[in-house]
Amino acid sequence: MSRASVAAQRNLTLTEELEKLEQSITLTLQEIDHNFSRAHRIVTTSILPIVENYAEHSRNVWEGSKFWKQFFEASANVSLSGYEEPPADDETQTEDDPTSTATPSTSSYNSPAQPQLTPNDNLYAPDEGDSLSPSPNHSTPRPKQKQKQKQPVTAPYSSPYETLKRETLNANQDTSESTLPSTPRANPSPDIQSSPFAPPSTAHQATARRTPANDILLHRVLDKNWRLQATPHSTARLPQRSKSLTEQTPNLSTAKKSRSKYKDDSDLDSSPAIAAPQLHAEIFDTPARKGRVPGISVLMPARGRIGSAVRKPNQDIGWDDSDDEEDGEEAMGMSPPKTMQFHVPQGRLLRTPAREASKRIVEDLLLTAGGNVTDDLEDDSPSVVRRTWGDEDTF
Amino acid sequence: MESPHEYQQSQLLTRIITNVEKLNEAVMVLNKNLQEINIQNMNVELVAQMFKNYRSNVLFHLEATDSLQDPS
Repeated sequence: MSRASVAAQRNLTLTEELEKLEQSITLTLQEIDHNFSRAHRIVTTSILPIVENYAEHSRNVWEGSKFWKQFFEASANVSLSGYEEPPADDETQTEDDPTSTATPSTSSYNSPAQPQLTPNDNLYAPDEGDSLSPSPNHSTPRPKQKQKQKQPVTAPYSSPYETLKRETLNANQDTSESTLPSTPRANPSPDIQSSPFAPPSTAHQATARRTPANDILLHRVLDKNWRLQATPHSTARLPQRSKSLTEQTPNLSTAKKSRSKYKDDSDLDSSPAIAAPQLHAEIFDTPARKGRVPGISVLMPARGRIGSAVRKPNQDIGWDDSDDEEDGEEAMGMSPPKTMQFHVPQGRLLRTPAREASKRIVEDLLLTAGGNVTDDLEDDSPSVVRRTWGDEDTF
Repeated sequence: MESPHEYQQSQLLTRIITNVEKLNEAVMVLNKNLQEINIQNMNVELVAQMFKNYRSNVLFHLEATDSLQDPS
C-alpha cells in the first residue's frame, strides 16, 4: 500500500512537473510574443515617423543642393552616377563588416576562449576551419596566442582583409598585449566607411585595393557599397581640354583633368576651375532630345529656377542616373518638361541663369585674381575663358 | 485528446508569427526609408565634397598666381 502511494505520488509529481514545464513554456511564449509586439510597436510608432521626418528633411537638403551637383557636373563635363557595387564583391564586403559590427561581440567572445583553449590546442583545430569561413564572427582577430598557429592556415587566403587583419594584429602585438585585441580596430572602422571621398590611406587598404584607382568612390548604404563614377560626357572634348590646360598653365604641374577628380592631388592640379564656362556653350548645344544625354540634366535646373515649385519634383528627371527608384518616376514624368519646351522660348529659359552664373564666376575669379573685368565678359563664350587665361599668362 | 497547453501554445505561436511578420514589414519599410536617406545624403555629401574641391582648387590657383587677397 505504501509503495503504491509512493508511486502515485511520484506520478503526481511527474505530472506536476510536466504541468510546470508547460506553464513555463507558455509563459516564455507569451513573453516572446509580448516582446515582438512591443518591438513592432516601437518601430512603427516611434522610429518610423522620425525616420520619415528625417527622410523628408534630407530630401529637402538634396533638393537644395541638386542644382550645385548639376552645376559642378556641367563644369567638369562629367556625369556623376552612383551605382551599386556588383555582388561579386560581396565576400569582401562581408569581410569588411566585422570591423564595425562584429567586434564588440567577438571581444567578449575571445576573452573567455583564451584561457580555455590555450592549454589544449587540439581543441581549437576544428574551429580553424570555421575561422576561414566568411562568417563575420570568425574573421575578427584572434587572441595572440593562437596567431602563431593560425597564420600558416590563413596565409593561403590572400584576401585583402586577411592581410589587413594580420597587419593590425602585428601592430597590436608590437604595441602592447591588450586583452581585447579587437577593440582598437573598432575605432578606425567608422572612418573607413564614413566618406566615399576620403583619399586612400593606410587605414583604407581593404577598400583601396578593390577599387580601381581611377574613378571609383565608395559609399556604404545598408550593407551595400555604392560607388560613384564620374563618366565624361564626351570623350572628344577631354583631350582638347587637357591640352589647353597644359598649354595655358605651364607653371602648374601638368594637370590633366581626368575622372579622378576626387583625389586631392589631382584636385590641386586641376585647379583651373575657370575652365568651367568653357563648357557651357557645348552643354547648351547638346540637344535635349538625345535621351539621357548630359544636356537634359543640365537643362533641368534652369527650368526649375524659372518654373514654379510645382515642377520641382520633375528635376529628378534625368538627374541622378544612379537612383533606381527614381527611374520609374523619370519615365513617368518625362513628357511634361518636353512639352514645356515647345511653349516657352527655349533659348531664354535655358541660357539666362547658367550664363549669369558662369559670368559671375568668371568675373569673381578675375576680380580675385587681380585681373581686369572688361567688356569681354559680356560675350560669355569659351573664348572669354581663353582670353582670361591668356591674361594670366602675362602676369 | 488535445491538451489545453498545446492549444494555448499553438495560439501563442500563431500570434508570434503574425507579430514577427508585422515587425518584418515595419523593418523593411524602415530599411527602405533609410536607404533613401542614405542615397540622398550620399548625393549631398558629393556636392559638399565638390564644393570643397572647388574651394581648394580656387585657393591653389590664387596662391599659384599670387593673387590671393585678404577679404575686404
